[in-house]
Order: sequence, then structure tokens, then C-alpha cells
Amino acid sequence: MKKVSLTVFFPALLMIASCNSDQKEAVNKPSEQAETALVSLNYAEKLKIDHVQNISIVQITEPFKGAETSLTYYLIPKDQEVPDSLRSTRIIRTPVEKFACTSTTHLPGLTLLNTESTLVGFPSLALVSAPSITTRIEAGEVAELGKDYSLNTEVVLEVDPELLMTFTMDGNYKHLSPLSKAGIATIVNADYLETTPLGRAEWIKLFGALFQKTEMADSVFISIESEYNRVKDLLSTVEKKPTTFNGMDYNGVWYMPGGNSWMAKFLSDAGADYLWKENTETGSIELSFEAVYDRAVEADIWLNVHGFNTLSELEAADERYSKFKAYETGMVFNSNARANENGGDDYYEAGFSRPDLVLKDLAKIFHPEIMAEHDLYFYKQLK
Amino acid sequence: MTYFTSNRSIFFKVVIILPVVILILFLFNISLGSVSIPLPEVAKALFTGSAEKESWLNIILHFRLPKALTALLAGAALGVSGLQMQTLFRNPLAGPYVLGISSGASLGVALVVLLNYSVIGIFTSLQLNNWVVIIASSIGSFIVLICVSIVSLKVRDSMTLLIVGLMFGSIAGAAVSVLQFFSDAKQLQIYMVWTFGSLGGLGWDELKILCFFIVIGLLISVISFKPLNTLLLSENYARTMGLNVTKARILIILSTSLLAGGITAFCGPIAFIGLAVPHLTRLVFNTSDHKVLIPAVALSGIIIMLFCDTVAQIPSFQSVLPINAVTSLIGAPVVIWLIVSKGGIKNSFHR
Repeated sequence: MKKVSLTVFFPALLMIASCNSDQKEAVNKPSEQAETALVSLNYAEKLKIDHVQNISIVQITEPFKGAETSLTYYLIPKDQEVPDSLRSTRIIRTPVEKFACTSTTHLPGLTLLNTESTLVGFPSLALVSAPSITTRIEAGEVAELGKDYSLNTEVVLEVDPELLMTFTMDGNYKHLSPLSKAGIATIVNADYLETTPLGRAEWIKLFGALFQKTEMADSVFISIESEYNRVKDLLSTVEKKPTTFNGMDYNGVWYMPGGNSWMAKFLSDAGADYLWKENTETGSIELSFEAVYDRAVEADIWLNVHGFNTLSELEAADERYSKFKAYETGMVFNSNARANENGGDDYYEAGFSRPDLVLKDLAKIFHPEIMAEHDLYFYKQLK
Repeated sequence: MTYFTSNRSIFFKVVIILPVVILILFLFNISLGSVSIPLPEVAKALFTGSAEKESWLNIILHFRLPKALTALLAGAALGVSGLQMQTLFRNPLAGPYVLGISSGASLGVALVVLLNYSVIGIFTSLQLNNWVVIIASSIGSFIVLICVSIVSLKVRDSMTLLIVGLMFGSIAGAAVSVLQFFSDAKQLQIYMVWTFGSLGGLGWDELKILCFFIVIGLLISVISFKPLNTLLLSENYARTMGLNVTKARILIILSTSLLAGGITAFCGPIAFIGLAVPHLTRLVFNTSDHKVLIPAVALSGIIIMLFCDTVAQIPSFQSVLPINAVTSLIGAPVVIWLIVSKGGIKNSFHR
């Protein structure tokens, strides 16, 4: 019920929050004359970064699913004065030295750029996997900011980060307003809306701009990209593509990745024949168990049975799972090889920023003969 | 057949028309689903145990048949338990869950799902074993039920009991809220999915056990039709008629908890059927005699449940609607229409 009232709120909030287009033009105009560096984003569709006279203009074109207004942030170096024309816009001073974020998927932005030391706060610390961050947590250098969505505003105010990176599923920014009043900048990360693995990984460039490590971010991304494409090319010539399907039933609804989703892209790049590839959704599609059974009963490989470690657990949850061919042949894989005892899982942390590793895992699963030298990293086979 | 001799048309409706409708709906329900299977193949699979494609046979035997049978049990159980509660409390707003059975079950499931990691830690997987949910839910319902029963021995008045039941429900609901606050999104999602209710999650083993509980619950209900009729007048009157009110009350509570508790444990809380079906049946049969009402409510409950489940399937569409949404969306307007067109439900509680 709470959600409804918030979604009613959001258009109004968004109007207040949305950027002032005049001011944007003020900065953009000179850019047309002076040749400006534009950080090339080749895969990400929800992120734009322009550089105008040392100022980075970051645009989140779709801050949440179905958002109609984009969000623009002006990243101004700390040693430079804020131009008058930008006074009432969203400003982030760089490099960010005290950083807080709200999703494990944001953390690789720090670990890949060696900026872990900037992290001062994170919600649900127990879920963190990266060793370089857990050591900081153990040393008491990172504050617990609350639990998942319920960010503890008071703690955030006390920790007083320069920037809080957050995400929103429904365009609700209400909980952030006390922070901006207190002078804490916030930025919405919408990387989860990207529909390609490389598009999602390319958001590392946003972190590059925030920490003034643009070149490092570029080179990190280039190496991920080339590794990804190398494996993809290796697999592009395979003749026999194993059929596959994904996920499991939740009380009568089977969430299957759409044919244009991030996962579907992975599967096609990994040389697999995804049984729902003809679908056009970018998110997940909701199917009935029998619809999945009918199409996937003879599928070769079954991926992402969330939370399960053994085949017998799977059968205990629902005996009908055992009727799939993939179950009988034991070709069931799950991405939880690196899950920790607190319910955290490195796959949901590093996995999104390291599509090259995920692709190698999938390639190993579908074409072990080609990927002989690779050992499964995020994935494991159910016993 | 002396059971129905008082009224031939009622006998005709209950013994002939309703079962025929159920049979038609049952077959209809089994022949429809996301995967389109030709009708002759459905019949072949049902009666000969073979089909053109093996996957069709499996879909019918392991997906559709258990679900249709679950709908059958749920419709009858929820309808009858609702009827009993409305009579016991002489309150048209009472339903199978007034005694806090669903809240207790929710608390049990919430405890297991939401504290999974931090406290209990006996499950390695996030997706819970069905039996764990069933047992947790049963224990939750049972504890609330014991509390209500103890109170029911002390208080003479059913209205007090109703309030006590509601209070137990509130306590359990609040405890669930606190748990939700402390759990992460993934666990919350699992819990929420359970609260949506589902008829499709049962395998044959689970179905057998559910069937056992429901049959016992229904039998207790059938043998207590006389106390129910007497209670309809007033508890004091029932006492002067020589009825042991406390004993009758406990029998009725026991039956209700078996029926509603069993369904909640296996299918999650299913809304609306328990409240609406007794009203519908009273209006259609124009009687408040439990000798007629108990079988009629059971059969009508089955019909409505099967119908709602069939609608939830939306043939040849790939996904399914949550059963709770369908029962309320279809059922509520029908009840409003019936009540308004018959001039209110006041007559339902007087013979």
C-alpha cells in the first residue's frame, strides 16, 4: 500500500527533480564550438557522458524502468569553481573521496579502479564478497547504512559521504531529499536496465568519471570487452548449439528471461540455443510451469535454479522438476559457486561488471571441449 | 435418501445439478492450459493413461490433474469452513480466517522464510522445501488455534471469541511486519509469493495428505449440522434446547481449523471463497438449514474455485494470473449483484 502512495508522489517529485534545460544548454553551447572529448560509450544505452571544459556531464537516460525524464549530473572538479549557470543543477564534485553506495553491483566500480578506500558506507555489509572491501569492513571503516531498501537516513547523515549512489525501481526519490538538504550529493545508477552484458559492464566509465580515473576505467573496460569478444568469436563458429532454459517456478509463475534480455544475449554469445530466443521482451516473462515443461522438457542444459545446490533439493522442492531431461542427465547449473554464508553472492556483485568471466563460464558449460583451460568461476553444477 | 425429503427441488439441485456442473467444469479445467492439447488427447490421457506426446501425458497427470483436484478440495473446504464461522458467530462478515488461522500460518511461514539465514539456518537453499512451508504453516495455525480454544473454554459468548480471534490475528500480523522489516528483498519476495496463494504447487504425495485432512474436516462438519442449526437461533436458546454449546463450539472450531488450516498450509491463504460462497449458496437455495447448506456450500465452493482457476489459466496464454486476484475479481461483483437483487442477506440468518 505504501508503494502506491509513493508512485503517486513520484511524477511531482520528478518534476521538481528534473534538470533545468536552460542551464544544460548554457554548458552545451560552448561545447559545439570547442572540440570536446566525448567519452565513447559503445554498448551502454542508459548512460551518456560528455566532457565540456573539465566538466563531465553525466546523463542517466532511463533512471528506472519506463522513466520518461532523464537525470543529468554535472561532475565538476573540486579545484574548479562551480559556474554560476550551473548553481541550481545537480552537482557532484570530483574526485569523490567519501563514497557510499546501495547495491553490491556498484562495488566493482570501486574494486576495478582501486578506489575501495573511498567507501565509507554500505547497507547490508554482510552481503559483500570482495576481499578488498571486507577487510575494510572488518577494520570498521565502512558504516552499515541499513537494510536493503530501508536506508537509515540518520546514519547516512552521520557518515556524511560526498556522494551516495543509489538505484530506484519505481522512480521514488523521496527518501533522498533529506540527504540533498544536508548537502550529500546523490546519483541514480540504472545499470540494471541495460540489455547487453557489455552495456552493463560499460558503466565502469561512470565510476571513472566520478573518481577522476577515466583512463583507467577505459582500459579496464577495453580489456573486458576484448576478452568477451575473443570468447564470443571463438564460439561463433560452433555448429551444435545445446538447447537451454532458465530459472524456476515460484508458486505457479516461472520467470524466464525475455528473448532480448541481458541473459538471453549471454546465452546466444555463449553458443547456446535459448528456447525463448524468439521472444522480444527485455525483462523477464512470466510463464506457467506447464508452458515451460512443454517446451523445455528435452532441453540439454538448465541454468540458474536459484539457491539450489543439489539435485535432490530440487526434487524435494517440486517433484516435477525431476521430469526434465536436463535433471535426469544432471546438466543443471547454478551461478552460486561464490555465494557466502550470509546470503551474499559474488555473482551479484562482480558478475555484472565482469561479463567476460560469466561468458567463459557459460561457454565452458555449453562447449567444454572449446573452453578446456577455463575453470568455472561463478557457476557450478548441481550434484 | 431421507436426508433431503423435505424439498424435492433442493434434492434435485444438490444431488443432480451441482455434481453435473462440477464434472463439466472439472473436465473443462483439465483440458485448458498454457499448452494447447487437443480434447481427444486429454480424454485419452485421463482414461487410458497414454497420449500422443509423452509431455502431454505428464502435463495432464502431473500438472493439471493435481491442480484441478486441489481446486476441488480448496473450494469445498473453504466454503464449508466459512459457513461454519458465519453460523458460529452469527456474523455475515465472518470467514474461514476470522479465528486467526491464516495469520498464524503466515507467521509460521514468515518465521521460516525470513529468519532462514540468521537464526534457523537449517536450509541451504533459498527456495524452500514445500514440506517445510507446510509444516511451519500448520504449526502457526495450530498455535493460534490452541490459544483461541483455551479462550473459548472460558468465555460464554461467541462475539468475545470473535474479537479474541481478530486480536490474535493482529498480533501475528504485526509480528510478520517486524520480521519483514528485518529481512532482505529476496526473502521477502519468497514470502510474498507464498501469500499470493496457489493451487498448482501440489504433487500427488502432498495431495494425498491434504485430502485426508479435508475429508476428516468435512465429516466433522456433516455430523455437526444439528448444533449448527440450533446455534443459528442464539446461544442461550441453544442451551435451553439442551445443546452443549462448548462442545459444539470446539467441534466446529476443530473442523474449521482442519479445513482452512489445511488449505492455507498447502496452497497459501486463498481469499474470498470462504466468505462469499456461503452467502451465494444461501441466496440460491433460499434456506439456512445446514443439512442442506453443508453439502450445497461444499459443491458450490468447488464450482466457483474450478471456474476461477479456469479463468486464471486464460487458455493458450503463456502465463497465469494469481488465483487470489481472480477469486475476488470474479466473485465480488457476483455477490454484490446477488445480494442487491435479492434484497439483502438479512434473511439468510433466519429460517
